[in-house]
Amino acid sequence: MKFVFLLASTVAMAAPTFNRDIAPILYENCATCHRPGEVAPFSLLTYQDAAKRASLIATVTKKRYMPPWKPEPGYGNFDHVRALTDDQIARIQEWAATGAAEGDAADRPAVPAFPTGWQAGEPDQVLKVSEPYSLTADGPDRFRCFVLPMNLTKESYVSGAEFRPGNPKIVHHALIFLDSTGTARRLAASSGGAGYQCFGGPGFSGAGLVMGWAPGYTPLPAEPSLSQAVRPGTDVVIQIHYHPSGKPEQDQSSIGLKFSGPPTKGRALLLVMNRYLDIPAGESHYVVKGSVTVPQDAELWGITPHAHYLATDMKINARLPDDSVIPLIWIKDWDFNWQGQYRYQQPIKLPKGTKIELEYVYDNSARNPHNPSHPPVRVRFGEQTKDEMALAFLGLVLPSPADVQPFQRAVVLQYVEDFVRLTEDLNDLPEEIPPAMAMRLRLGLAMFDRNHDGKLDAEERANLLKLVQTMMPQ
Amino acid sequence: MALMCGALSAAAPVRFELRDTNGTVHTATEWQGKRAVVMFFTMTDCPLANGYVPEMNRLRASYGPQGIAFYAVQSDNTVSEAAVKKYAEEFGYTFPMMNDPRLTLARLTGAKVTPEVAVLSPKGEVLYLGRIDNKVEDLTRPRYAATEPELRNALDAVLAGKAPKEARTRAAGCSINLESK
Repeated sequence: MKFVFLLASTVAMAAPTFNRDIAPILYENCATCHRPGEVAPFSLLTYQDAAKRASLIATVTKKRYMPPWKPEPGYGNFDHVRALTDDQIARIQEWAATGAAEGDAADRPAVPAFPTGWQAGEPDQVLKVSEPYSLTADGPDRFRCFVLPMNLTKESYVSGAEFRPGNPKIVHHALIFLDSTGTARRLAASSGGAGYQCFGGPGFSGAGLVMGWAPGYTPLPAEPSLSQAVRPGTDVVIQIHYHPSGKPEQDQSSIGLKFSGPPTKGRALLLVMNRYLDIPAGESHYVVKGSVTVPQDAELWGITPHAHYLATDMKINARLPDDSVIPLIWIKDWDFNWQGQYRYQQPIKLPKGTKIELEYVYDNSARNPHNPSHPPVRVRFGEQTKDEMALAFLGLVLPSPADVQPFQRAVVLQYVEDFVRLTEDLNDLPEEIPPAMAMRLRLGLAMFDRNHDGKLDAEERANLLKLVQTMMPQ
Repeated sequence: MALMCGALSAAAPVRFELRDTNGTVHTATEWQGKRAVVMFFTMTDCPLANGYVPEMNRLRASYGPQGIAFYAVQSDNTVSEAAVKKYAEEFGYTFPMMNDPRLTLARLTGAKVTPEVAVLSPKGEVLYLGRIDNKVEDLTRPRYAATEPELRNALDAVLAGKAPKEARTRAAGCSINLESK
């Protein structure tokens, strides 16, 4: 069988060898993580390393499980794409099937020189989790938030951040937030240490998301034009997803920060989401849609789609005012364990009035191996493992820092409008609405609740909606 | 291929002599009087196999006293004995870790990947071969949590004097390099 296949497909080509054909592929696409001391469980630098895993490498590359790269080609031109070409995958298949030959030593490329230490340059401030976190040998994955006080004495501007896992064997991914509300500090204090348990989010508004990290992620160089103002009293909060290794482990991760002067452009994080999902137990194709309108001209630099275990397919498009559509990202086989933050090669111009449209599909059947509930249960929006989410963070750049506040105000008004349109219960305000505004809103809502039953009926809602619409910027 | 499979199912006398990481030499004669033997095929740098070490220790704790012998079989002959010894200590194996440089036991049982387990009768018949549980049926789509403890099921059947309902399951993991000499 093998011989027939080979003759038919590669008449003129000699069988691939490690030195000539495979090493260049591995060095360019795999060795960033698969080398001694790095995040991957084994190295792929030498012939011996690779040959003993030839069939594993062939299997996982063919299924495009490795390198971990989820976006579908053609839906967004991303930077640092870590996907193999069909031709490279075929080469690896053939190499494994023909006995994984080493080949001529003269053909072998030099092992690339990988940077050691901080990848994006020496940071100005390094914050390290104050004490080692102990992880048990096995059991479910753990999600932990750590609070790292910045101890700032004056307002400062963060222009870059780089995460370094303390123990790469167990750190699966990390999200970095800024918290100026003290919420994370209180949560940590009440669980008696430097951290607290947190799954879907850090327990406060996700609007402070600074960056995400996953194995293989290339840190961004500092970007002073987009620096972020940080007030004294602000904490860095690192949410880490841990995957037990089989033996007790410890981790003490750190983050390096770069500071600069004030920004010359505005940066805004636009959240597109739908928090009203309600997935019946057993439903194998549940579609969730959501949208948000870009209230003023902006450039899209990056995108971070997010859901939990049940999501299978995620698509986000930008519908421009002229009704043309720019595909922003499409992930066909979402895997919670490989969520990424994706940056565009070229920023995408989004004119005022562009509608960001999200469409996610969920499989809550027993056939979905990722389903955390066995048997399946009804699933609604929430931060816990067995809840779901439907959202994406869009990293936008605005012409001037002065544009940020009106931009954010306009976006919050959209959230309020959605809330008023879709919710009856006045007490269930979404956390994207800042606390001060939420309080005023509750008072306002109570005024419209003329029969004082804590809910808005259709007429009460219509009246309130009219008011919210008059608050929207023109 | 067909010939090899045929040879496996017959209960040939089992001959091997392998040293564990503490220097003790093991042979099939020590299986006399046991009700069954579990072999856990592993290698030092296979994350999937390593993740199962605590579960294997729990299985040994509950089935060991019922007359079932447990062995780990280091099935990567590119790793030094000293490194295997260090690894077995770090992961806290509570049962012997045998070095198998010629992959004798993988060939004998038909194990192809790590983690994979074989349950043998004291005479060397392979009663069960496959995965420990169904958490990773598909390498690229692991379950959130296992829903079938297949090795436990097999051991319960053997202890009840029955043949396991599923004698073979497909294990997914790191390939054992059976072409190496």
